[in-house]
Amino acid sequence: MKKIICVLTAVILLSLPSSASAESPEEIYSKQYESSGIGQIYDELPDSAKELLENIGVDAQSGELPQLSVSGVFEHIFGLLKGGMKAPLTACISLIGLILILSLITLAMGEKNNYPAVQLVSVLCIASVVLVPMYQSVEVAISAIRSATAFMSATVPIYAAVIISGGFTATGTASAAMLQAATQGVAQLISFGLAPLMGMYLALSISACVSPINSAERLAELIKKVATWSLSAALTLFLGVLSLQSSLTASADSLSLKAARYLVGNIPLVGSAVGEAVSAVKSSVSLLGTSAAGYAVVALAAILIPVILELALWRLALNVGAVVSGMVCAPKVEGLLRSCDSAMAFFAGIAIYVGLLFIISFAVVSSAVGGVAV
Amino acid sequence: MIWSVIGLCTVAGIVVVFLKDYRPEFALLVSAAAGVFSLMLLLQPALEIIAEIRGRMETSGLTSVFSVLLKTVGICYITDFAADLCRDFGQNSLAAKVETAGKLSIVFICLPLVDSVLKITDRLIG
Repeated sequence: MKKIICVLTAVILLSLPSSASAESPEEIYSKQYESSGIGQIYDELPDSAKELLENIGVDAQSGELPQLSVSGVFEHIFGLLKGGMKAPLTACISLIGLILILSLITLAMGEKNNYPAVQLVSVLCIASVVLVPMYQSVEVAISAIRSATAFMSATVPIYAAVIISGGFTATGTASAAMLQAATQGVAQLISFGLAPLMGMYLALSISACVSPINSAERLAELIKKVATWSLSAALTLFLGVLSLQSSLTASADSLSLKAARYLVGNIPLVGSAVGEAVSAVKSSVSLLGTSAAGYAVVALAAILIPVILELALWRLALNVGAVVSGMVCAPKVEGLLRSCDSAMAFFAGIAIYVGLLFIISFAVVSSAVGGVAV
Repeated sequence: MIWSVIGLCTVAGIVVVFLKDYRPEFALLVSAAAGVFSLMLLLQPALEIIAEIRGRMETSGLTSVFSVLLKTVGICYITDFAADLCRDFGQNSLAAKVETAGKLSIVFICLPLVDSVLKITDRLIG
């Protein structure tokens, strides 16, 4: 009786229509995209960066970069230049006008008893004209750098999760830890180290311009050197350690993946099919990781490029002012403008540094993960 | 205007040279009066130039800065004039006091500018 029931059950089950098909790589990719949480990266972006990404044709919700063209990007960079030109251009024109009036006044005054007082007032006038709008740009730059670090601290865990899900456990864990440490370190360094240090530099430069004490200028130069060297050293050290660690952990991950593929490949009947499926999943996860890294890099550029362009325009305006001051023999004013230019160069340097730090880090980790053959 | 000033100063100089030997006290008064009149002659064109520059500064939003600058230059000229006059009368000590008063006035006028610069540097450091 039992045998008959078993045979009947087998016949019924075998007669039922059934179909099985392997998932296509596109389906695997879209499923992994949805489950990875890459879409959340978009929510972490500041509004200005979202707008810019949409303008240059990046599909912000899906994180794809299909319409990104060189001409389109340059067109928008020119648009940003036009938009950011207003404050530096106004300051530049005001500066030139004021410098010419000051030169006329000092010429009319001659070498009178109160001539140093007029020079002091000249420098103060120039400082008050330049520093207020310049400080607003510096505030915007610091805010953008903070936004970039906040965006990175939201992106790094998602990126690491994608890498880990592709089997690169050691690389994902190690790079996530290092990138998170770098993000927090950069945020702290900028908030409590570099921004106040540059403020000190600017304050000392102004005091050096309005007073005959030379040591203030030397101290300002020392502060600038310390800040520049510490930035360069931190970037070099971090990228060196990350590169070394990524290459080592990628080798370990490669070994693990090959061992896993060997194990599943030896399963009777379905072994080769499962091995191919493992390869497909690994490839789609690699693609997902590269897409996430690419999207993060473009988003980071969208946050930082407008600020860097505005700072560059400020540098141009300040240099024009310094050249005009040099032409009309106003050394104190020229010194002040050169100091402001140095400070702006440093803030632009910090923005570039932050961008480079994360872009190179993503490139290093992506190339380490992508270079692994399974 | 320039011819009036040149004429006035030349005539005053000749008169002072003549009076110096006979009535030195009048010579000093003539010299001082010539200085005051030449300043008054210069005032009219100077005011026109200032009004022109002020108009241009208003369009670029630099009125407050220009006002400070103008006051400083005015104080410099007036204190220099007063100090020179004191020296002509042989009062070097008074001349020095006038110059000190001028410098203090300039510092007082500059205080809002110093304050705005200090506020920005304070915000940069903080």
